[in-house]
Amino acid sequence: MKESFELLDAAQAMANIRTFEQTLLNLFKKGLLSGSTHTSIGQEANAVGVAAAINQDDVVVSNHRCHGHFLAHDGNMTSLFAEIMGLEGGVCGGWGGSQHLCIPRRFYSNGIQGGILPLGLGLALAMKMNEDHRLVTVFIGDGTLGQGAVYECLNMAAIYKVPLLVVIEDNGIAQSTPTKNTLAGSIVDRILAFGLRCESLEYPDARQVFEIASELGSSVRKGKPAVLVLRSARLGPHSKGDDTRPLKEIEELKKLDPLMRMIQQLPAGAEHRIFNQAEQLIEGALLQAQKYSEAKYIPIQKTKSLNVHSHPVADDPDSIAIARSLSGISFLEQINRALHDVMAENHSTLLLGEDLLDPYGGAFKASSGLSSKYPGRVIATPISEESFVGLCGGLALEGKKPIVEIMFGDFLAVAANQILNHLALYRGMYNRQVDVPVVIRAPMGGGRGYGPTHSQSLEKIFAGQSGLRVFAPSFMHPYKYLLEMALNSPDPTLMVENKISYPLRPEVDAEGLISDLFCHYHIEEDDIVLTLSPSAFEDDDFNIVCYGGMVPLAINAAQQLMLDHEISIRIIAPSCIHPLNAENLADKLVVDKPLIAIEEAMSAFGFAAELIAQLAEKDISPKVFRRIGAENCVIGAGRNLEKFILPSVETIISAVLELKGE
Amino acid sequence: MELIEIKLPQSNVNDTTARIIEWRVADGEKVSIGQVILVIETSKSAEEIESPASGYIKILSQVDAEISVGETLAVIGASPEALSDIAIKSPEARPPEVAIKATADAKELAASHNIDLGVLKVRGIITKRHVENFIASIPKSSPIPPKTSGGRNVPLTKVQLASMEAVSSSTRETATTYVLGEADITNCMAALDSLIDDEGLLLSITDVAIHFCSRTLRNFPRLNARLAVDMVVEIPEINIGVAVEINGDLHFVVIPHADSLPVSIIGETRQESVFLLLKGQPLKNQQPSTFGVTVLDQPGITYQIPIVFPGHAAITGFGPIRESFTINSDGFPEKRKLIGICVSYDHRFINGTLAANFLSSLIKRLEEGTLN
Ligand SMILES: Cc1ncc(C[n+]2csc(CCOP(=O)(O)OP(=O)(O)O)c2C)c(N)n1
Repeated sequence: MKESFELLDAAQAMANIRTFEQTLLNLFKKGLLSGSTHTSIGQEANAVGVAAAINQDDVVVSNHRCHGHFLAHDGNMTSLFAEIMGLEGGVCGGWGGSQHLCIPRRFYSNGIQGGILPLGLGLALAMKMNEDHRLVTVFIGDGTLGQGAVYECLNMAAIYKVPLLVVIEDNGIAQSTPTKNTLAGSIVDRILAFGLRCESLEYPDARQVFEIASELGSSVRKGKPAVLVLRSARLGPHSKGDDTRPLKEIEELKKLDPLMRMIQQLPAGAEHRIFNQAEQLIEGALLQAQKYSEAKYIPIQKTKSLNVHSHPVADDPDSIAIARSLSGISFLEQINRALHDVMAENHSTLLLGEDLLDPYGGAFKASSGLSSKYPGRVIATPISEESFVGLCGGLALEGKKPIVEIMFGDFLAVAANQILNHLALYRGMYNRQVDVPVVIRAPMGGGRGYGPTHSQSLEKIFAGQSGLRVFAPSFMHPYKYLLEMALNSPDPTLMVENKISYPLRPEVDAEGLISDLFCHYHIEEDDIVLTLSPSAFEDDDFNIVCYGGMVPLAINAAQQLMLDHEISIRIIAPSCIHPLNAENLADKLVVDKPLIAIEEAMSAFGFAAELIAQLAEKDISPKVFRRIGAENCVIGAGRNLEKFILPSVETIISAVLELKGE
Repeated sequence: MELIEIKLPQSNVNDTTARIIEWRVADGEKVSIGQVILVIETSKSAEEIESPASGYIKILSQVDAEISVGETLAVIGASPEALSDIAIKSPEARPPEVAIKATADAKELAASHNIDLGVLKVRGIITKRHVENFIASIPKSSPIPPKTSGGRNVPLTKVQLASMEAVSSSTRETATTYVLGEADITNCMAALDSLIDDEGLLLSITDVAIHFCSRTLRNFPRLNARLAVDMVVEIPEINIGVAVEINGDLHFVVIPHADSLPVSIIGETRQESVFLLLKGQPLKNQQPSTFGVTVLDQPGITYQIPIVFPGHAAITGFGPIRESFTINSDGFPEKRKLIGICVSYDHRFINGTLAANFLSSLIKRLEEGTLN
């Protein structure tokens, strides 16, 4: 916090912001800018007052209307201009644009209303855990109070006692909608309901904001989160040329302009000097920014295989060693041990989720024993999937490695906004300046009779999103290896775990055969592909590509088809289903033999579709291809319904026999 | 009232089975709704199960049984008569584990050629192709008999062909080495004689050999083992395979869990099998052997050096019992019964010291001669 407040400095800072944003609007008018921009004309006092009250190294998290917050906290106009113009020298190299700015560990903004609350909460939780002196300020608008995540986070901030200051800029309007039409009750009452401290000011100037923010800041830093409501006037359009308010109303609001009110307190001639200086500054910055070239797209390199063999072979010693290490250990035990290991090995690793604490240890007991062993590092959350997944992003941006459990994979949809629009995008939109090593564990699938909302396999909703990796290991994949891969990755990983595989134990004989099948584990840079064959990979008649919970079914089918019909099935089971490296899987297929791809969800827009599309594009698709998936209906709870709806050993066997013409 | 089935509930999301610890009611007893009737154990805890109805109970699964979720544990009916037709599951309802996995085609082909699938050394599932290859590897008698001057052509029997394959695979694949020793079995034979006299049992030195070898093996797990790619698999069960020659055919008779059987049962089991072989009938429930024993008792010989059977770590070969004078502790010559013993072992994974320690420990036991 700055010791004193200089009116002149504050007025200059506000004039700089205003001139900057007016320049932006002019550039748009001239057609020199594309995309969107949201100016804070009339609200600059909030940004400047808060920035003066906090420290340089504190973190500011902002929304779509973020230029003022950015300039007040950092001041670099050139890189902001360059960013908005999509140039290489931009804050985010032109990837983020106007509403996605990042200075690692100091400033983040995002254009999804309300989505920044979980980020801010996570950052603040990391500060608290690290005993860091910094605080986190999140700016949101009054219209965003319609967003549920705001309340989830205010609730958690109060419970976890984190250094979080939420500033609500209440300009009475959201885009074109007067907030009075959308907000019931009072803002302050809503905040007070969480037992949080809440202060509010009516059209304050920068000094008033500074004073109250300074005071709140010192208690926030001590772990008392607070909310500051600042009534303000939006004098410009929502974005550009989209103001539907009557001119008269705007003229009235202009009388409340804090910048003009502050200039009036300064000696005569100050206005001229201040704006002159601002114009010079902005002109210089713009010229400087225009020297940068346009952001260039550089494609990401393809991953390599770390394996000596790209084709499976029997008796590969490393594969036998992996198989033996898994022998007789249930999938759940594997997961629990892996969690224990990664918690012991790295103190930054954290666990979050519902009902994780001992003696319960999570709905499926995967976290059993962990909260007793690492009391401060296992965090029990309220039923707020969006926010507790989102806050993991904040934790990760401060160097933590959070592993978050979604009790049932179906509930991922509740957290989808944070997964798809936040965690998955941070790295790309912030121009690879940040790493997001978050692991989201999701017990998925049916077969337990839990009914339609607790039995789905929703991974395909997430597979296909750039920046997000989807792992779906089977009970025969070395889970710990994959978990470590995920935690060491800069991208977030969705770890899909088939819940009926939890009690399954690989049957590995002394010679490394799994359930009488020869195995090969191909260790790739970002995948482990398991291949299985009864014929030692010499003489297989069919290819089955599948993952997760379909692997034990395929194994069962392969055994029966061999014993009863002498049909030899080669199973190819990747653990990474997105990004899917089909070319790599193709290396493991028996050529010229039919390929059946199996997934537990219905096949439409799924794993098999992606697989065959990639193979076809490379002209390496098999002559005969079939998909096996669930029926197109909800997953009924009744045992018999599930049996009919979900893929089974019998469906696989009959598909093979039908192709064989038997 | 209809019959009400009591099924094993899914109490813990990850358990697929549970064990019955205790029935709190007797079979046929009258029970009332809500009464605790049994206690089960899941991976997490013990759990009491209440009766869902009032009536008479028929218990279907016994204490200690492993049951699966959804399996019926008991049935409740309005009267004892209503339950009379319900059959109780026997605890041995599960089919015995089959060690050899073969396809339907492979089994059929093997049966038609009278081939014991156990002699095929296949990893994984045995297919028709494996059996065909095995058949092809058996030398055929050539269509034109070689010219002989008065000799005769004697075709080999199927058993002989199979043991030929076993013996040549042993020679090809193992590194058989051996240690020799001699045991004074005077006390042992006296104990055996009294067993034969008192209980009228028909026992031989072979049974004594199996008895002592199996017990000594308990302390030498590495000799009751097999080699798997790059590691030694020590086998918990001690199943002694004893070589039996019948009409020129060499058979292996297996005494499962020999280390826990009294010598009388060892003898009985062995003789039963020999009897079946003599009658030309197949052996029942033959389990894979884990260690070999062979006895040759023709007078005049002192030792035999057997080869290690494929899939074993070692074998002991006994010679005939011979009498000899030794000087006793008082300095007087004494007539004693001695036997020559050879331990052949696969030197690829068994060292001489270990084999020698085993032999010496076996000799000590034989000399003590305690039979049970
Ligand atoms: C989740 C989401 N919904 C809608 C929008 C479109 N949008 C952008 S800004 C905005 C209005 C936000 O109003 P408020 O929170 O009051 O902030 P202000 O614009 O007034 O600063 C809307 C609806 C969005 N960006 N994100």
